[in-house]
Amino acid sequence: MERVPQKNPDIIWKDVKGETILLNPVSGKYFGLNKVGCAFWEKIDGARSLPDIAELLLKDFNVEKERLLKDLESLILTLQENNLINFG
Amino acid sequence: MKTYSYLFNAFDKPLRIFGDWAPCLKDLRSWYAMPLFKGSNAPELTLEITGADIEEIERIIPLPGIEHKIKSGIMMVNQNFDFATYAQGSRHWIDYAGAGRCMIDFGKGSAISMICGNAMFPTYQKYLFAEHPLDKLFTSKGIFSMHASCASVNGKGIAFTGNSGAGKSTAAFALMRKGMPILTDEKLFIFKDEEYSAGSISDIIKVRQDVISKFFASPDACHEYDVIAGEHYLKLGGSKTTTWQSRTPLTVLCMLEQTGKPETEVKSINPTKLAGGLFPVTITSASPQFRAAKFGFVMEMLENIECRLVKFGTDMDDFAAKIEELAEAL
Repeated sequence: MERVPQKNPDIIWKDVKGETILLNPVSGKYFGLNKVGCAFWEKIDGARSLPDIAELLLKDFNVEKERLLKDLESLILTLQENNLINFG
Repeated sequence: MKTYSYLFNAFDKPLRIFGDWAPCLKDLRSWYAMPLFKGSNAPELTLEITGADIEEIERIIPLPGIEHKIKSGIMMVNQNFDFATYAQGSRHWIDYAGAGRCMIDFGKGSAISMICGNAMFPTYQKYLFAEHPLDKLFTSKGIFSMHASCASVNGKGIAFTGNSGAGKSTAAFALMRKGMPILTDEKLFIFKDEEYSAGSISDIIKVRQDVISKFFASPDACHEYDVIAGEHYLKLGGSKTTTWQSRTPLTVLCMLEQTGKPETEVKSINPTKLAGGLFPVTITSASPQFRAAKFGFVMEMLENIECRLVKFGTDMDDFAAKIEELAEAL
């Protein structure tokens, strides 16, 4: 089954000039996202699967699919480790 | 017992500080450089500082249940004091075991500090029982403290943030030495009226002797308020090169990075990159609710003011010249 990422509902965020800062107000920990990370975060809606999001990102960014998937793999791991997303 | 009462003008808000605890209150007009408030007897913010024994503290400001405890640790001042913070609804408590307790009621805009004895030095009592609750109270009026230094350069507020050791104080003193007033070397208050403003409530700075030798024209350029453990508490003013200013429009927030090279470089930076310098100390409110409010304020501010990366060189004259150029260009 394709995995569907969910945002941690505690997280608040702000996009400033193409980059994003996420804050977990409960723990006080914050996390910065670059443009690709920011676009990934925006596309998480609780319904889209990882492949759906990857397809949308490929349309937004002029990068090779293999490279994007590799970057996403690393990003997802980091977001999970920091309790910013989960998979239900 | 003598009681004291002051009605300060805290960024246009009437702030009443009163009570009977002389070690904090008797010289408060010297400790704080805020002007007195004219034309109103109805304070928007109040802070009471009184002496008490432990039984009185327990009776007047009892702690909420252990389930409301947010954090605990050791406050290292002239002695180590265990402390714990609690939050319940719109009220926060900070308990310094055996030394005193603060209770802040954000809903009412009021705070009470009760102090037991003199185990803690008066200067530290001012920080923990006056400055800290005031800092929290200000947030209820949309005035947020930042971990930053600030100077007024030709009428433009230039603030400096950065990681510990990045040179926030050094940057402020380098500009002060050139005759530019500074607001603070450590804690800056930011608020928004029509534009973002930076402000400071105290003209007292804490520096070591080597800093005085480097940046102050003469050792007696400022009145020495206190000396504790090699740290000199100096009251600014008294000479043209030690001028303090209470507020200024905030024009630029600079992120400092030391390079070890003589020359300073000023570069554009995405505002989100300043989070690393600002957040570790700035976003430390006791409750998630206030942390979220401060995050929202800081991020909106970053979106609306100029942000720069300052590669901070070792030549202080060059640094001051580059910052003057920056102020002039904006």
